[in-house]
Amino acid sequence: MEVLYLLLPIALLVSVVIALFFLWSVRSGQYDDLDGEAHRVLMDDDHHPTPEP
Amino acid sequence: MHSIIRTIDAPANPYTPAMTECYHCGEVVQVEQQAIREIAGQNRTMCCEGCATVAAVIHASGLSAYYRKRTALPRPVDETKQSLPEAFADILDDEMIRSQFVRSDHEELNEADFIVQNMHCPSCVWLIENRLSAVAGIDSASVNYRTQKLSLKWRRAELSLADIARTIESVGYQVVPYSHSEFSRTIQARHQDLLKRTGIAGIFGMQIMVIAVALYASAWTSIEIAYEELFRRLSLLFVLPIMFYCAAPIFRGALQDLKQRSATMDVPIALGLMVAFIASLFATLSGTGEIYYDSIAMFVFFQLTARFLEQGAYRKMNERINSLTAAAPTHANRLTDPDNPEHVDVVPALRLKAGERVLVRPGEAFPADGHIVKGSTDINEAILTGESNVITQGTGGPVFGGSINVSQPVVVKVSKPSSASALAAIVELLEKSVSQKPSGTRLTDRIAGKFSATVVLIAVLTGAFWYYFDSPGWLAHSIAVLVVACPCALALAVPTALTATVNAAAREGILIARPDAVHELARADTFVFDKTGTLTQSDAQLKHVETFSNKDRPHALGIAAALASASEHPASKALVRSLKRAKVDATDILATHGSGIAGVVNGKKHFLGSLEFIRANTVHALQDSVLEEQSGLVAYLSDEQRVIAVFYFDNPLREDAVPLIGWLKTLPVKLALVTGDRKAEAHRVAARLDIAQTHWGCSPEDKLGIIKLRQSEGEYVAMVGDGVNDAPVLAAANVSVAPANSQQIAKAHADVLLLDDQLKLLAVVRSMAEFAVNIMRNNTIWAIAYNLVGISLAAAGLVPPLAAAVGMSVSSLAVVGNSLRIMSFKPTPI
Repeated sequence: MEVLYLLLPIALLVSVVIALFFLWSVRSGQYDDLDGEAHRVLMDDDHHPTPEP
Repeated sequence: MHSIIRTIDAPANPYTPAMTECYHCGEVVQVEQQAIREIAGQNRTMCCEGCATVAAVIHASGLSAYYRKRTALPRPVDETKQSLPEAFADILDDEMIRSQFVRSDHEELNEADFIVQNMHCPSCVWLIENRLSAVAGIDSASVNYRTQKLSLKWRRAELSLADIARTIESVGYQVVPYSHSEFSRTIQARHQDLLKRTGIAGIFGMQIMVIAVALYASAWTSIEIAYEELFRRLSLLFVLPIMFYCAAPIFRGALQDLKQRSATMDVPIALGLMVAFIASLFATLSGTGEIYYDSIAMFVFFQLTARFLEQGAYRKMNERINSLTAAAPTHANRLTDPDNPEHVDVVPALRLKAGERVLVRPGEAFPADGHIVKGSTDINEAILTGESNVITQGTGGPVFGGSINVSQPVVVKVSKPSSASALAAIVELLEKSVSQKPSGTRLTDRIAGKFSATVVLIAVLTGAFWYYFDSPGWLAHSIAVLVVACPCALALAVPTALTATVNAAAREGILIARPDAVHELARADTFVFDKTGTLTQSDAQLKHVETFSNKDRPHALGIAAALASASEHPASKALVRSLKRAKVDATDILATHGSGIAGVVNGKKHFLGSLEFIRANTVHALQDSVLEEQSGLVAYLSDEQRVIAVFYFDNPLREDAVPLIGWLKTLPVKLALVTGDRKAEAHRVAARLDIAQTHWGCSPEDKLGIIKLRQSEGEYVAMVGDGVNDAPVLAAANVSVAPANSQQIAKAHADVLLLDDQLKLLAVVRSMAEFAVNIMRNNTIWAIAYNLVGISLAAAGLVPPLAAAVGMSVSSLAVVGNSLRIMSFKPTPI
């Protein structure tokens, strides 16, 4: 059971990393438009618009 | 006229209906208006020039894939064009206007947000983004589908705002600038903040749960004391961010309540959390005693999730309302040479100064108060007075900013800048009533104060009781009381129900913009209605045609519509609307403002207008007795010899006004009608709907006075209105509802907004609110009952931490489950 002394700090570390990742994702606005992204992924860009004449 | 309203015969359609659908908008194509373009090697038929132009631009930009991708059809382009004035794009570049919404305004890169109007499906996002990204000078363009907001970065040196607006218009959409109000920025920041706290509480809470399970299991299988110590200390580490970061808003709220000597649910929650944490902290450090970390984590997570969902629901509604009410800045055609109306430049209305002259064309709004110096016209002042009929003003006559010029172009000398106009005065009245709005209190907040005091008292009594009987667990028992009493379910009772109501209402096409509106709508015992545009339709409609010669009705209507198409008068518009298909052409049209129109139809001279106009032009006008009794809006059609037909108009009731009022009458509520219109018109509508109390000829101040008087008599007033002149009243009423076709300012200040143009949604939202309040009451009773049982058991020393944690989550889930019933609420049809 001594392995707990290794595993629990790792668990602590991993959750801190996840928490930081989460904070970053919120701050960078990834949760701002949840509906739009769901549609955007379906709009594949199979062509390129012609530039301004 | 007798009471029977005859319907108008459907006009004979000389064309066989060619059921071609417009390539762009999918409308059935009318042959006389069709436009054909070659697109991708195929001839495509469009319903109008507007659609054809848009389709050609989309194709030329290489974006034809839009037609494959889209999942919903746009509106025809011509129809939507009216929503923005043509000169709009030009004033975007005016320094005064652009400074209001363009950010980081240095030479290189500009940033601004716009609301895109007419978006109808997700492929619009694709179309707009791709069209803009192909334009040189645009750095990035991204459209938020939910809020219909376009965020744009572009290089100012290469591209003007007018160009951008026109580019977007060329693919069939309109943009209006969107300036982030301080309020919406705060809401956005608060939303992100709450999301962060909720997420962190979830992540660390999960770790605490895992450890808690191990600790609870140790009750059955023994665990080495060293590992137990490790688990408890680690839990403490995990709970620190939850206590000090995630739960901070709860503590802050409680502190504020204490300072203001009021109480919301925050006070008992903060009390419970603090006691649980301090007791657990001592237990962990001393190695003896119970820990409640799992309860704390779960509790904070539940609380924050509920708050996050509730706030998210209202944020969504507010964003919808913001995008619905975004208005283009008003502009004015200022005369560069005061005596020559041929030369105008377009300026924002805000820039007008007293003494300047502006040209106002038919269909435009007057940009400021002033008086007419050249010409005469009919004016629709409904926006200020609520009166539905037009008035006629000649040279020297006063005009008011915001009212609509109906018939003739006129030159107006501005007497007050637009910030001092009559419209601005109404807006000021509005702001005053917003600040005086009676605030409602929540059910649970009313009991929160007593609840906290009772719990503390019980905890003290418990401790004293066990201490008196020399029990070593006296402190533990009293702590258990405080922890169990931490009102998780009670705090969830109302927010979860409100969130479910807001979402269920949105599904029915109703926006609830203010949380308390649900309570207040259920509680309202007086419903006050505005008339024009609310109970009646806002446009006049042809009610009845009477013919005097041997001509049939469709024929007479055809001639009248041909003449009427030259005028913007409400009656003319109604005539044109009732005859859309078979149009006859009129030539040599001469409109005499305020009286009538003359023109040649089918090779014969015809006259359409008021009785005086007809008398002046027709040899055999009808006997006076027949014609003079008519009240309301009437138009006469004649040729040079005799009167052909009489057209009667009215503002018909909305289809669902009668069933709605009928339904309201089955409730114990009072009904009243408040209108700026004339007495006869008000009484006509009141009689049709059987509304006993009618106030007519009311100015916005009068309306406000009526509402305040009723409130001071203890009535709980719900106001239903649509106009600018209703806005102050909407803000002052306990709860306010605006139908879909309302003026933007009314929409922006209503608590509840009906999205579909159906008045009967009011019945839906009222019964939904009643149901929701019932659910909240159930929830509250259940939560209090749970707490009573829990506190009694804890006082008896029978609640270990595991039971506290399980009890808390079960009671909370029961409340959430009960609230979810609102989502499946089916309104009874009326």
